[in-house]
Amino acid sequence: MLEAVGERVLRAPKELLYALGFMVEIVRNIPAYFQMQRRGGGGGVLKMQILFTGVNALSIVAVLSLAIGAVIIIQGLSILPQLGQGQLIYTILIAVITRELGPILTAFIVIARSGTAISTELGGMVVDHQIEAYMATGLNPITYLAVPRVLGVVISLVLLNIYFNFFGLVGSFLVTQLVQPLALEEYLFGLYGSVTLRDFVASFAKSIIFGMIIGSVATYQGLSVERAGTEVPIRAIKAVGQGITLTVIANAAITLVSYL
Amino acid sequence: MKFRIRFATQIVGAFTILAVVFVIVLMVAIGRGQGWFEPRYEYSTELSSASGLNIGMSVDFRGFEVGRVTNITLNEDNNVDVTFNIRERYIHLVTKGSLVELASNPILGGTLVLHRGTRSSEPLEQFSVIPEWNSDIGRAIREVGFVERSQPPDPISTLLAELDPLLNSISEILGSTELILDTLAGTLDGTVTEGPIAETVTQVLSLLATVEARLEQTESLLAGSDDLLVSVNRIADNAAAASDEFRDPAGIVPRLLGASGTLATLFDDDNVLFDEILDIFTSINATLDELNEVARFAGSQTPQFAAIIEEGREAIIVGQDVLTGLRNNPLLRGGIPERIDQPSNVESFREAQF
Repeated sequence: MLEAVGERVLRAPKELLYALGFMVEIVRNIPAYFQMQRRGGGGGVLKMQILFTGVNALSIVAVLSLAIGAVIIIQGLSILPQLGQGQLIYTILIAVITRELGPILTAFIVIARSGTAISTELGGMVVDHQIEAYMATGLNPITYLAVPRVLGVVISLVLLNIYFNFFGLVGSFLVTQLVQPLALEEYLFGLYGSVTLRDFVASFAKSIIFGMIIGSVATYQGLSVERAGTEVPIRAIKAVGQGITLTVIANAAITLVSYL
Repeated sequence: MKFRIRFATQIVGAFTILAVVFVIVLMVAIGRGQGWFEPRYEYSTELSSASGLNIGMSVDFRGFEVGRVTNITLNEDNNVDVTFNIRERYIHLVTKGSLVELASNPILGGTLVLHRGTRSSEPLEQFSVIPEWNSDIGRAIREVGFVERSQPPDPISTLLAELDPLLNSISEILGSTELILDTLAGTLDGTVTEGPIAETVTQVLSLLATVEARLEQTESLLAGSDDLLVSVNRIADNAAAASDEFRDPAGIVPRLLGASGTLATLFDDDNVLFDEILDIFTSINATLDELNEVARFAGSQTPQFAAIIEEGREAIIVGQDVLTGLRNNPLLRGGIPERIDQPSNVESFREAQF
């Protein structure tokens, strides 16, 4: 037992370094991917990844952001004016929708939908020896398989975050009209006064970093399958767990840095 | 083929373009609302403190944001130089006589309030210094009426401004009390010997020592008066014995008045013996008068001595309590310990029946 624990402890840093090296390898292969795309290959993978990860997740993101935005506005408008702080609703809305929940919730949705899908797909390809076939034909699996998926996740997350903000800030206003009518000018004026460029920069930065983390973890776990088909679901579960953990840690770190 | 797969490129393109358009529209709208693309004119002011001030704080006029604070620095006079800008559309509010005021409180945050000058309608040149509302120049401008207040003072700030001196006073009083208690404790411990409090305590201690010495002297005096009373009693006993002798039929009277008695002899010696006896009686009379005086004095002073002793004893007890209380000050130690009262048998001089 002691030996097993010792082996795990000694293996953990090696695996972490290997994963970091994998992420660096993905970033290093991005120019190679675009070169390959210019030559007419690999473009379909990126397009389909954005379709599956971004477009197909739009409905759930829209519903989620509408509901959360409406709840924040309704609760804020009923509580904050009693404290003489009605204007704070816009600051809270920006902080919650744009800075915090937008990036992190879209990231969770993408982890649950696409993180598992990518790791399962790549794991299946390893089991079916498709990766070996790509290598045999001279295609780098990182360039051809991992990079477009990671890029697709990053682009999808950024776009989904924008839609989350759209539905959260604008759509929730429409929902609020059904419960507690509010003049559009008043709403926009309050919003303009509260939002800053830093809020958007922080939000987009989070989306890009979360996308890199989710895509890298999912492809890494998928390509880590060795030979058995039973390893595939195990790697998919690991991709979800590690993706969520690393995303939450990165979120806290970026929030901390943006407020310094 | 499924529609989404078939038109994947178009769907992804629309998905991307819509998001980008939304971002651009939002940025332009926010930029226009916040005046990102609008020229701004820079001014400065000098404040006594940067408390409640921060870079990016809004400059307000009647509740509207007309500009923002861009820089805060401490100058050579230890005052705070504040640089702020005013949006072009509000530049007409910055005229000769304009003042700025920092309205800041910890609950609602703060703003730099712009008060419009009424002396001229021409805007001030860029980089001009606009005086602060409570500065000397600001007061002078207000007195001559060259400025109109753009918004009433913040009630919380006003309240805090009034509360601040009060809290400072309380803080000073607490500081002084702590110093006094420290000095008292130090004096009682003997570590502090200088200063008015230490001198007062020292004087009280020396006064108590003097009272104690006086009481000891009074006690010794009273002990002497007991001996005196014993002597007087002895004399009185002798006088009683003499009186019994006079009443005895075979006593001194027959011996004196008989034929061969002392008086006969006395009358036959040319008054020599009589004169001697007369001298003796005169001396005895004088002695008795003195004794009478002493006895009367002792009798009249005894209750007073007793009362003085009792009062002195109580004064010492109270003095001990005060000293113990100071040593065991409630803020420093454990307070005044309970004392078991010992009632005196001596009746107070004031309670004496006349």
